[in-house]
Amino acid sequence: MDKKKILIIDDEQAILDMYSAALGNFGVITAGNGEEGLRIARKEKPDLIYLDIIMPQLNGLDVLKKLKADQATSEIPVILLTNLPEEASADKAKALGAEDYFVKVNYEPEKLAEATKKILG
Amino acid sequence: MRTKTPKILLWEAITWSSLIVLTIIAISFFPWYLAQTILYVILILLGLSAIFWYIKSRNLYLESRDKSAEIMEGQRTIASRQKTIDLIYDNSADGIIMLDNKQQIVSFSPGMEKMTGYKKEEVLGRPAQQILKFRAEKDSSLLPDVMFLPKDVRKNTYVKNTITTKEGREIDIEASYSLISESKNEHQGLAIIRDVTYENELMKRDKEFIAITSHQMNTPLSIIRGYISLLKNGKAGKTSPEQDKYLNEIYCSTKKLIGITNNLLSISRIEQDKIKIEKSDINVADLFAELKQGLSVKDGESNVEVEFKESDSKMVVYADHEKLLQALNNLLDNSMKYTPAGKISVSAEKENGGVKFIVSDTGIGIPQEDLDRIGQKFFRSQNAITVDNKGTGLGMFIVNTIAEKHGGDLKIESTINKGTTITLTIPGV
Repeated sequence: MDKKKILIIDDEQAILDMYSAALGNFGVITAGNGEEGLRIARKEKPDLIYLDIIMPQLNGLDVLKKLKADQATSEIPVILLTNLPEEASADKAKALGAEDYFVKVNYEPEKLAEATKKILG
Repeated sequence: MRTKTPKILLWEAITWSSLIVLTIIAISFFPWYLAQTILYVILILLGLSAIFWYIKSRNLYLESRDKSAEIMEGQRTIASRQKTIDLIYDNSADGIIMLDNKQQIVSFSPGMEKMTGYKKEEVLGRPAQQILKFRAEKDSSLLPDVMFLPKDVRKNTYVKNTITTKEGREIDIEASYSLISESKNEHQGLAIIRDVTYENELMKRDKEFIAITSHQMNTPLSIIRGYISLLKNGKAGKTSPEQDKYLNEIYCSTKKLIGITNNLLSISRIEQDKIKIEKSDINVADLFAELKQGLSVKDGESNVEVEFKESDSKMVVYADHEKLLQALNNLLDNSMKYTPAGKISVSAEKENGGVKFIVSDTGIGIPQEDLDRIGQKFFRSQNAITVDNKGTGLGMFIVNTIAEKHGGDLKIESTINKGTTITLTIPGV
């Protein structure tokens, strides 16, 4: 069976490397900005997307809107992975169709790997 | 004294006229030698009465001179007081306003003019509400209304409102007020109004600053913590016991720092009333596992034994996961900090459909007189400071707020040098 594909969109390379290292059991693809993330999502059709909010140019919530508006990507579950406190944008993200909202500082790489395992079964 | 003057004049007239009459009688009716004697007597009497009246009128003069000096002094005092009042009225940066009992403006100080942009001439005699558009937050009152409340029903003499300036800008004000009774039915309300827009803005910026900086700190902190945990878990190759020890130290300090920024963030959220509780069913055993994970490193090296017990492995609590974890973490952190050696136990019990979390330690305890104040922001008990002088006094405030936001309850029992038991109750659905 093919490895499940996970796309992580974050403008911080250190974050991409860190989470990729813990998600070794999955096929991890990374994108360093929103535009790139959208392009890869359309092409690779990952099983799950982890999406940062504060990014230059296209922010995470805009990316989420575009993902959900595009038939090719609208079915892919998206989880926000950000350091913005939940109160700031969790409601908004969920209203836009996000599955969940993780605050990075509470998610060590291993904890994210465990959560991912639970989600993808 | 003033009433005696006509009396004295009358007496003088009577005395003089009776002397003249007596002289005429003496000259007309008595032989010369007798009349001479009578005239001497009369002259002596005349002299005596002159001396008497001189003394009397002099006293009167001195008395009235003192009186008028007193009156002049009084007038001077009143004038000087009036001048002081005028100076305060004209120069106070706070605005002073007086309303009649129809709430129409009868007095509008230069301070008010500066604050609102209205000139005195534009507002005098007009209804205060129509001009200044007082607005109060919910559950609060409008200044023009509270000013005229009878003294015995007033709760306080201080109110917060907003008013609208001539330019249409809304400003925050704080006002103290009092009622001046002219007569039984005629009252005037006096208020001293302060523009606190700038202070409020500063406070808001302060809170935003805390929110932004703690958020910005979280990004590098999550990277540090993440990479240490990768190293610890052997993702970059096997580490030596010594390296593990160093990594643990870094890991612990990073977690502590994350705890502080999280608490700061919570405070700014609480103060901005932005804290939201998103409840879901949480398995208590899982929650305890998360708590244990946070402890494992510190636990290994201390003289404190930490015990977790939950009566039922399927026990579920309906709460906000992150917030409840933060509250229990804060409680456990405190127990760890204030128990130099001994035992800490964390347990959960079902109660009325909800869950009661009990964190109990055999630590230094909290003095009785401080028990009521635990949970106030920045409060730290004196014996806590001697053990650890780096605490922020925010932990218990946050626990308290989280308990309140869940509709729950926080109970603290403590005995000095015996230990502390804190019960956090989260109600059921």
